[in-house]
Amino acid sequence: MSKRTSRYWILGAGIVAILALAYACQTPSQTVQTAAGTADLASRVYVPIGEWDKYYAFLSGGQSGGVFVYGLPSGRFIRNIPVYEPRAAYGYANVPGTETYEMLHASGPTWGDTHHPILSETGGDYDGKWLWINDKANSRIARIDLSKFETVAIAKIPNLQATHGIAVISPDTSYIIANGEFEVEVPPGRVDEGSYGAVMAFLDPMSLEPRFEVLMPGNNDINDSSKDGRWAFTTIYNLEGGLTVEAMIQREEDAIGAIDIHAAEAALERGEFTMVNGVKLIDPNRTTQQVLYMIPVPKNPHGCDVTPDGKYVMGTGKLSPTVTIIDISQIDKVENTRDAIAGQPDVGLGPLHTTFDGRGNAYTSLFVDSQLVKWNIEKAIAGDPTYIVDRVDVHYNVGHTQATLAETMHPTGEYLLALNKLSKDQYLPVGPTMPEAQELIDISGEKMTVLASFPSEPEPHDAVFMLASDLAPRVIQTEELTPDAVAEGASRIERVGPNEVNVYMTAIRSKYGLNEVRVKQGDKVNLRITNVETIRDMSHGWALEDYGINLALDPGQTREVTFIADKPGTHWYYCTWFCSALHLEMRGRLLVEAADG
Amino acid sequence: MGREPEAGATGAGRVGLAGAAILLALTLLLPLWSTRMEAPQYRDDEVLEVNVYAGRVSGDVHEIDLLNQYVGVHLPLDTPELRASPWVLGAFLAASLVALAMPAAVRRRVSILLCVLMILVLVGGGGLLQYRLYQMGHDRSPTIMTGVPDFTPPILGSKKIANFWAYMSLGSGGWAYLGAIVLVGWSARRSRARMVGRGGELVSPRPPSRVEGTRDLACSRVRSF
Repeated sequence: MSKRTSRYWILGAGIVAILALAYACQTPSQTVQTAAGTADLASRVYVPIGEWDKYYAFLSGGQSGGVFVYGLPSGRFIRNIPVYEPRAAYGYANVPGTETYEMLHASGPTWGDTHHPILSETGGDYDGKWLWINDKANSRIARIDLSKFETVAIAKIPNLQATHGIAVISPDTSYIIANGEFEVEVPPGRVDEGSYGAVMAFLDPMSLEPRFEVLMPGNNDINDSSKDGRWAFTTIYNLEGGLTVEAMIQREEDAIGAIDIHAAEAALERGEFTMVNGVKLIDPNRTTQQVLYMIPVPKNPHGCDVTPDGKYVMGTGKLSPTVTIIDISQIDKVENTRDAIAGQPDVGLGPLHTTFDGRGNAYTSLFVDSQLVKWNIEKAIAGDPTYIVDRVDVHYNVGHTQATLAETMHPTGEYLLALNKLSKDQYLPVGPTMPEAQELIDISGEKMTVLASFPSEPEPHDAVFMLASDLAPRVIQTEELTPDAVAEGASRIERVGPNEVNVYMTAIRSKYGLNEVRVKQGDKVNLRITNVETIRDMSHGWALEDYGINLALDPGQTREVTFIADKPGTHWYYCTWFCSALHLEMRGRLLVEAADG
Repeated sequence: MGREPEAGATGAGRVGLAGAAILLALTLLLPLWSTRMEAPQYRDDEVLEVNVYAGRVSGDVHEIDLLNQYVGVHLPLDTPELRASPWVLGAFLAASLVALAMPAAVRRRVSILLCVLMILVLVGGGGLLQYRLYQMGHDRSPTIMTGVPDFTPPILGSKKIANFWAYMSLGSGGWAYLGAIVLVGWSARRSRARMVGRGGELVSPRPPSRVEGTRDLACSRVRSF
């Protein structure tokens, strides 16, 4: 071999080596799942047939206007609780004259944008009684009865627009707080930018009516409360008072607002409020005792989360890569609230929400980085540079994150849900808009493990969890017969006026109490129907052709509907819940005799 | 205790009858015979039960009737033997109480008679129950779904019926009845023991051979005494 040839060889080998090195450096650091590894992950989320998941997960339904219920760790979808949208399947708000229809229509439009599900607490832990959910789009809040997973109350909150953050005041659900995110003139009703403001409403948990409201600066975002019932916290952005995106991000600092509930109640007693639309409104600038404390945090913060031990409230940065840790005990003690800040660790890009495992660790969602980061709270406060414990990738652009029972005083520290804003390529394509993605992460160990991903309808924002062992025993299996129930054998038609008939009917496998209902055209028909089944899951329906009526009847439930029999002829009614082998035969006729006939 | 002097033996006869009376009273209150029906969608606390008491049938009769719309079975809830059962059991109870008050010789005879009658009722009642179960599985509505052949559940044991497994067993009242038979028989035996015990001479008014059949049927345990 000549010298020249061997030089070429050396040069070629060098180029190959450099290219190989470059390729190796390019290879993503993501661990490649082996078949055995995948099987292990699968077994950790597998729940055998007939067995129950360990957790209920309640996800807000976003623009779907309801609440999605999943089981964890399987990710199995269990129920979509309708709240702000009618749902004929459950007979929810779909037929005029029915109770749920009147409730929803009285409160506003028949759609909603739900963000933050919150659970009732007793002694700082979930008691499994109620779940509240906001409607940002129409300034409403609703209460769901967890014994039936049904919406039982909806109310519009006066004096605000965009109910965004809501929270239970721990430890005993003394109030539900709900902020108005968007600023409006107070009192509302006339365009006057000079009097713009937003309020924090303190609601009665049951009636959902405001006991009082507090006038707030800026735009309130996410809420939480201290564990002793004294403080209501909210992240505040746009202290600039800007009305355009550019104007809202001028200042380097915004704030976490801390409302001293005891001071607010004292102000009410002293009469330091004005009545606005029938609500007592406290202006924190005009109270004897300080009601509102503002703790500075970097610009436009988002998440607002109190640690399970009640020591710190954390403002999560959004436009800043930090989490601001505020020592709750210092808020009213320090001269300058800036001194209540215990630490401000860097966690990554676009941090939105922080959650906890009860073992001293925090988990922050990083929207821009599409990551979950685990970090140690005390190390971060002490300035120990090793406070970051772990990071995992999620797909993609994670928004809220919640660890199991992290909002209570006793988190289980077992799982964490990443609620991702985009799923893009993660599921089978279904058009340009893809389903939302949730990722389940095991946080029981030192390192996090992403276990599985499951899709949902648009668009969960936040989630809360309950142990199945705490909630399942509270869920009723059949409805108690109410005093107005139609008894078996008591089905009948009663003419109560020249143009009005009362119809009483039972439903049980596989027949209605009446095979035919004969009325005259123009009659007002008041139907009361009772599902007299006594076993779980034996639901029946009553759908009437040509009249757009569908009632859904839980076992033991009685429902009523009133309609005008204005269409002559034969109209079949039938059972819409597949109930039995003779389900298709379970039907009858409404016979409307023509008025001129 | 088995070879106590006379007074003890008499006491044992009475105790046996008193025990039988208590058990017979329980047969009027407790389920005599039960069926449990299990299917995949009827498990745990939703297992269907039918309990036959003296004079009545209780349990998930309504739910079974609803399911029977497809199987075409009619539960025999009102049969003559069911209506008679509390009277028969009540008569046995009364007889045992009357015998308690009688002198030993009479008590023995009444006990033997009672034991025989109770066994006859046991056999007869079992036979009638088996007949009703046969009837239930065969005299079915014609307008039902096909695919479930006629069936005969055993009075004790299990049977697959459509999607259900049915388990038939004695109820606590049934066991009380069996116990009462044993106690009545035992009481007859102990009453005789007293007769024999008096001076060693046989004063029993009837030789044991007269009740041979009885002893073969159910009082055989007594013989070992």
